[in-house]
Amino acid sequence: MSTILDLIGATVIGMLLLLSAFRYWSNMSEEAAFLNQERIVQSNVTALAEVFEHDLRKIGYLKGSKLDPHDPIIRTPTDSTHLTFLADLNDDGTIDTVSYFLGPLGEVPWSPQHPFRVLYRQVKSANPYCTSQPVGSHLGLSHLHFGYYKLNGDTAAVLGDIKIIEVTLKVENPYAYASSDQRAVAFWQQKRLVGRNLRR
Amino acid sequence: MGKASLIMIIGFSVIFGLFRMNFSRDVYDASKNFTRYFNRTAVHHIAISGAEIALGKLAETNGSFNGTTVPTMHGAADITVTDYTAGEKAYKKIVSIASYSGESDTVTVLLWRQPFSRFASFLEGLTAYYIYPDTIDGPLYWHNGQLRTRGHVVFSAYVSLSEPPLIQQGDPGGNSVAEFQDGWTVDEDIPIPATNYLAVAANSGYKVTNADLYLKFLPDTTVQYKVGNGSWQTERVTTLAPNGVFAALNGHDVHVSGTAVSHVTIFAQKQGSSGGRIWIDDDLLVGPPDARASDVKNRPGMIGLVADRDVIVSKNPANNNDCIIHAGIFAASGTFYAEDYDRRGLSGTLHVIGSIVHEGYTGAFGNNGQLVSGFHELLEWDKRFGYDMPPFYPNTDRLGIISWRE
Repeated sequence: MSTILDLIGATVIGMLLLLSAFRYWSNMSEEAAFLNQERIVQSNVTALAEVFEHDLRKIGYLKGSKLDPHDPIIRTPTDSTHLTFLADLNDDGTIDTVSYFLGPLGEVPWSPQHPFRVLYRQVKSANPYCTSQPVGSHLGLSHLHFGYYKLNGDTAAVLGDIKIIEVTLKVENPYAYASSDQRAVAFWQQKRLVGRNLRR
Repeated sequence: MGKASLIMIIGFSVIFGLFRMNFSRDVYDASKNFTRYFNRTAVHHIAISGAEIALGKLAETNGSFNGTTVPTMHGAADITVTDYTAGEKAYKKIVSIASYSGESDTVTVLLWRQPFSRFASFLEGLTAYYIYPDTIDGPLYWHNGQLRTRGHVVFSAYVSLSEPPLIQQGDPGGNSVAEFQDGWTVDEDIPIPATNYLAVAANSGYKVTNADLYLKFLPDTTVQYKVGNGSWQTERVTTLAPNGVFAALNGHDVHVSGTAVSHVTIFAQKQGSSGGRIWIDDDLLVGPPDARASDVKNRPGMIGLVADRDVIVSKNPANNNDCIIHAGIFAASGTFYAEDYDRRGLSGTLHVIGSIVHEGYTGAFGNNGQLVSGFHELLEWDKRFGYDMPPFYPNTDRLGIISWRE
């Protein structure tokens, strides 16, 4: 009798132990997946930030000269999701027209809570080796905002007043963990003084 | 039972160990990604710091700084400054190469010795008001006197002052104040340089030394010219003055008008109290008479008027009903003014697209504030002067940034 009780007790304890182990396993798997998502999202937001930084640092730059101040260097004032500006990106003494804009909703699977969009970068250059076609990237961008400011921090509504551009990005992982719709999220925001090459 | 427990413990340990490894890898990769971004940002800021340090050193040493290596922010910026010239323009190039934690970045800054045409208006010794709705659409230099504003006066470009401005409230609304869109700074005076070098430059241009010089530029690339009471002759501008400098030396004046389609500078040298004046006898243009500043941007012509004494809008029938001047005007020891401004009668509008050093009187006002003689004046800065200049136009002692590449 005591042997049977021992076996029943051991089975119950063993099952409880296995149940805990499975539960632990499940939590660990979810956590591991989420950590992996975080890693991917961090990597994506860094990649996007570096592209923006590379281009925005050159706003208004022209090798060996100065862009004509009569020409508006920023071409899309007050448009919060479309930025076009002039810059000599490849340092060859010719002016390139650089644009950033979002593709339409629906290009990639989305939900109202997670409106993923493709970010397009277009460089119209005199350099024949540069493509003028927009190049899209789907890195989980769900929010993009360009802000335009005067030197004193007030919002600039007129083209000539723009001295600072603010870029805000939100990147999410397109693949949620199934059980919780939990997604890794990363933000990046930078205010960039564009006056170095714009000052008259 | 003991063996089973041991196997179970080892099994769990292996499984959890694998999980731990995955966790560690993800955490390591995430932090590595962040660290790499931080390093790149840091090295970029070090490169910018190097360029800023070089700019500061150039200002301290009046342009004689050649470069150095600066340890900063646990990295280093290797700074080099080189000089070169293109034509009569003098440039300095700063290259700041930064290194930090295995990353490197470069910032390149190109500077030039700024000409006086860099200022829309260069004023000395004046204390006066701008009032609403005045708009000053170009860099302004206002030294040895106080700039005063009342109401919403707009300064759309850089303002250099010798003392802080007096900013008073006014229209619209009674409590509006001036708006300095590119800021203002109190900085050192810029001395007016000697112009003798232009007499030397005129050796490769066209010069007269024994009489006044009369010039009328034509839009077909030629210039009609006359020396003293001689007869008019016509020649291509580039043939007569290959370097674009026309000069009346040894105390003579220049009379000028017409439409120029190349870069030219007209110079009048004084001798004692005689000569050194430039007379504008009729419209002096680089574009159509009805042009605004934005209309001359693609014009090939650019005119500089450099007088040891005054630049004068002549009192004559041609100037009695409007006068249009597209030029950088430099009146070294005198002013730019209208002849008999208070006795010539109403003369319309004096529209200057260019730059004025030492602006004087061009009109006289009655007690009611109405113009009673001379010109209404409209000054627009030719924005091309921000990166280009007439040949051998006088330079300031200031270096200015042409381009900044990060």
